[in-house]
Amino acid sequence: MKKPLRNIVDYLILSLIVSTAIVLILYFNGSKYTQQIIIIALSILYIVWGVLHHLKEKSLQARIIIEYVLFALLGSIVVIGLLK
Amino acid sequence: MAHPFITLFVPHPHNNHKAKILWPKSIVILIGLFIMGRSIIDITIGLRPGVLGFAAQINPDKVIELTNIERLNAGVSIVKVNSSLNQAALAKAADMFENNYWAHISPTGTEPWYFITESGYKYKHAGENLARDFSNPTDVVKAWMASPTHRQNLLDDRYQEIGVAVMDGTINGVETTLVVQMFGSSQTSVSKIASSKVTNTVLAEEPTPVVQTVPAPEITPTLSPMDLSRVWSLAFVVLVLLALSLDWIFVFRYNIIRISGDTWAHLTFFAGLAIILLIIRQGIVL
Repeated sequence: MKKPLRNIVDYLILSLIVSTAIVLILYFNGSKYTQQIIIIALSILYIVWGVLHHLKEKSLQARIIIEYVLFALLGSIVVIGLLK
Repeated sequence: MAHPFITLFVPHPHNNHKAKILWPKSIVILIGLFIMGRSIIDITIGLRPGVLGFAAQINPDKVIELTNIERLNAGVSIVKVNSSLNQAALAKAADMFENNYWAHISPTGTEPWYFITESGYKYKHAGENLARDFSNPTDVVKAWMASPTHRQNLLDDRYQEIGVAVMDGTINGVETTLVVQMFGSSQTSVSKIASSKVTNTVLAEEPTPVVQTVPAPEITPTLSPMDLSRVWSLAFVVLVLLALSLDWIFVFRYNIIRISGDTWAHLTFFAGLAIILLIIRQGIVL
């Protein structure tokens, strides 16, 4: 349990980013364009979070960045697909 | 040799301690599969108009009632039903279906005020709110209230009268239900407002009373493309969530050390997306 406790601030920040996106999506329900922007912003912030988190952990590698980018891409495509 | 299902979903020495479905090339494949599935849904809509669609029973009177409740809550006087505005709203909805568009101004440049004037209503101020793909009047009014421009239109104290039309039809091959809300105040001066943009000046003339009722929409039970798309999107998110959960449990349980992204972070991100997919509402306002 050491690692999660050590990274609790990082995880709280990520949870705050995701929660804010959920609240904004709820607030802008009916405005699909705004919701698309929110999802793109969430995905970018998720990648940035990943890079900064692994930088801090001294474990940043190209393959890890690619992993975050691909997960962010899959996530945003799946949600934006619903907002077309 | 481990079972392919195990190596696909569970960290194991045979998959370098990472579920194969979470490998970068698998994510690329998932993206490709998602796009392919969505394309099939879109092609089905294009080739077989009406196979997928959305139709709802929205009572125009209920839309007016809810609008007036919001106006009263905001301390604004209520609007009275006007048959000419009802007729104008109906004509606008019919025009959108006939000319296959979803906008305040038609592709040929016809503005909402044209329909109001054609109905015989001589306005001082006029405004229009549009909505589509909603399943009930409460969500329509809620969505208008959530949008600053529509809210401003709905609560504008210059309006004294209202007309609402609800009509089923097909736009771009997709069956849908349109809600058109026209506001107005008759006589003497000026502005017209589409989603709360105040624009022009029009001189008022004698109002011509026109009696017209808004027909009740017909219910056409069809499969909504939005519901199908939602299920398709959720399937991918749930699949990734499942794989990430198994990955997190096994890595934690067996204290596996490996070079990889943070599984807990991926889980948080995809759990958030799952919630977002569930809360995104079907309707659109304009």
